[in-house]
Parts: sequence; C-alpha cells; structure tokens
Amino acid sequence: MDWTADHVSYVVVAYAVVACVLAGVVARTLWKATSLKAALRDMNLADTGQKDGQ
Amino acid sequence: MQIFANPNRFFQIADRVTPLLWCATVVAFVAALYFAFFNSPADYQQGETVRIMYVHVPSASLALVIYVLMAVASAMALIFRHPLADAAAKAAAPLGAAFCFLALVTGAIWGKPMWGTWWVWDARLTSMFVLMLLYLGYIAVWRSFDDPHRAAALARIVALVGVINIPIVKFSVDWWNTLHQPASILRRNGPAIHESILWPLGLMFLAFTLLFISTHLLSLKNEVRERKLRTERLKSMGQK
Repeated sequence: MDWTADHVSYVVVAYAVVACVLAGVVARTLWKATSLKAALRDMNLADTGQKDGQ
Repeated sequence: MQIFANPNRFFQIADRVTPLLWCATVVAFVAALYFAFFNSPADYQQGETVRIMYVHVPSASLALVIYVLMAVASAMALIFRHPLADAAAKAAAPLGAAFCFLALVTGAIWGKPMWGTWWVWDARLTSMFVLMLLYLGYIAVWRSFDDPHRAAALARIVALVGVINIPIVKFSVDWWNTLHQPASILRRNGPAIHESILWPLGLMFLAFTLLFISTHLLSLKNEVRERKLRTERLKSMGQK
C-alpha cells in the first residue's frame, strides 16, 4: 500500500471506524456476559449449559 | 434440530465450539488485513480507496444476511414455537444494525473521494437506510414492552414484514438507475473483480462472518441468562 497516495486518509478513517464499532460490539457483549454471570451466581443459579448445583 | 431445542444441550455444544470460533476469527482477521493492506494492488480507477471495499462489502452483505436470519428465526418461533428462535433473532438484531451502520458509514467515506459526495438518495443507498431503520425499529420493539411475550409477537411481525426490503436492496441496482454500481460478485457471468482483489475481499468476508457467529453465540447466551434471571425474580416476587 502506498501511504503517500491520494485519499489514503479516507481509508484510514474507514478502517478506524470499523475497528471501533466492532471492538465496541464485542466489548459490550463480553461485559454483559460478565455482569449476567455474576447476577446468576448471586442468586445461586447455574450458568447456561450447566445444571443447577454444578 | 431436536438436539438444539433444549437450550442446555445447545449451549453445551456451543461452549465447545466457541473458543475455536474465536481463534478462527482472529486468524481470519490477521490474514484478511495482511492481504487488504500489503498484498493487494491499488485499483486502476479507485486507487487506494478500493481498500475501503474490503470492509464495506462484507458489512453490507452481513447486514442483509442477518436480517434474513432474523426473519427465518421469527418464522420458526411463530410456526414451531422453538424456545431459542426469538432469542436468536433478538440477539442478532444489534449485530445486524452494527454491520448496517458500518456499510452506510464506510460507503459514505468511499463516496466522498469517488463520487464527490457523502450521500445520494439513490435506490441502493435509500433501501439500505430503510434496512437500518428496520433494525432500529426491531430493537425498539423489544425495549418498548415489559411483557416479553407481547414484545416477541410484535418483533416477529416487524422481522417478517421487513424482510420484503431485502430483495429491494439486492436488486435495486438492476431495477432502477443508481449511482451505486451494479452487482460485481454475485452475477450470472461470474465476478467482475480481478482475483487479486477478490481474495482479500473473500478473506475479510470470512473474518466478518466468523466474528458475527462468535458474537451471536455469546449474545444468545446472554439472552438466555437474562430470561433465567427474569423468571427467578418473578418467582421470588410471587413468593413474597
């Protein structure tokens, strides 16, 4: 890739937007999983894929 | 299909494949980015901006595919009363909305240097914008009702009615005169793109798809966890 070519800044901005949005989506999903797991644990409930009491 | 009807059984299988999926996603992204930036040529007309297509096309394709999956899941919930179908559609909606948003934004960023404008109200762009509104409407329906059964009933209708927009998006470039180029990959005479550009595009599509599957499984598990918590809270409120 020629970093000195015309319009390279558009390419950089496009990839930065994509990276931020996708990272945000994954981070939000992981954060939600962590807080829901903690809530289940607080109520002595099994997580998905496990039987109660495991 | 019966194996997947039991959420516990489904998640036992999903838990086994999830780490592999995340590994495959990372490997696919590394390979796709290497090809996109360092092992593919600039286009003779678009120059370096062709590299925006490597993220624009997979985002747009997935936005369409995910909406179709939501409609199929909604139909399954309606016909077969599958316990995970509504949850699968609900979990997919924010991901589809994110990909749709990325398709619109990266398209606009590409459009400015290539077309001289960020946006035009041509059939393809307008129908993609309508798809974004459908995603937002679907998400809003789920958030508008306290009763999940009522929300699910209305959300199914939104998903099933909204799927009419998908062929409009796909064929808009054939049915109307648009500034947006016609189909250049899925067409009768084969792809109109040189393989040096087709390879990074294919790899990036694979990476985006794997990311969607991995995140969707995680999101689906969150949905089931939320339902479990809601049920327990209602039970404990009933006992008081």
